[in-house]
Amino acid sequence: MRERLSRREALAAGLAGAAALAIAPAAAGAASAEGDALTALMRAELDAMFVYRESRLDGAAAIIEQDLAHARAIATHVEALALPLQRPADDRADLPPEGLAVLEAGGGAARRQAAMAYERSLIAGCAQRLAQLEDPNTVRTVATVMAGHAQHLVLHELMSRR
Amino acid sequence: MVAGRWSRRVLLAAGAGLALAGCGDTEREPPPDVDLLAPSLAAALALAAAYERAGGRLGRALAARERDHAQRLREAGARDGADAPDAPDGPPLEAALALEQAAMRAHVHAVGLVRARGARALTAELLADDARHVVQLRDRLGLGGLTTSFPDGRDA
Repeated sequence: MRERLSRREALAAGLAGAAALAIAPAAAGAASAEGDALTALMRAELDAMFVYRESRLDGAAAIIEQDLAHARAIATHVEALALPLQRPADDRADLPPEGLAVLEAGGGAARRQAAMAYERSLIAGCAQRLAQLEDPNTVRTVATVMAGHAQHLVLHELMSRR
Repeated sequence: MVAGRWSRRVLLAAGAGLALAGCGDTEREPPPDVDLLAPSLAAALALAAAYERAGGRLGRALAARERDHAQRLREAGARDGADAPDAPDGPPLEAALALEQAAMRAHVHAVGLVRARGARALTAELLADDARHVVQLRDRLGLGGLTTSFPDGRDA
């Protein structure tokens, strides 16, 4: 009887171990992809704050405030994965091309057009990374951040017509 | 003996499988995607009708956008027949603004729960598009532009 239990226990342990081995790499891979996505999104929000601070565009202050809120919200998800937080950008050399283009654009109208292109790139960045997220609340955070950038885009469009 | 050993193994494997499946049942299983997308479809149809009633250049443009939303939701499998959100009485664009907020709440609910990656991408895109409409409407109504960092239909 004892021998039968041992065999059962061994089989059960083996099955549990095999299941854990099968699940662990997949879970680790998913967490890594989610962490990479969130880290990149946090970086993008911090870069956007730098870009708008330097841009001197009308209406930039409200956008900076919202991008800060985005960065903070994403940071909570980054921290939940025990990943290091990103530092605020302090140099143009670290910016993505679309962000740099805003600062290098000439007059107000050209800069506004560049800001629209930049917001489209931020929206695309969120859309691209949504597929890598697992947690429903993280998905909702990133989806609403994406919606926030869509509102920034239409704000630029409206201001460009005035 | 061999047959008996395999039977025991199969039973244990089945038990382990049930145990693993049970782990997922600790949280309530969300409805299927067709049901999760249904409120978004109902809201898009209500918005299309509201914008058609509003008319004008903005109304016609946004009605076309909402008809496109409805078509894409149907293509993603959204079920017809969900309750349409209530539209308040009053000026058409103000009613549309309230409906946009209801649509955004439906999209936010769905985006976190749908299983298909395509459905997730679609609801996120529709949320962003309706968030754009809100700024356009607020501008037209003289209410100002941005209201929240996280447009989810719960802001004023």
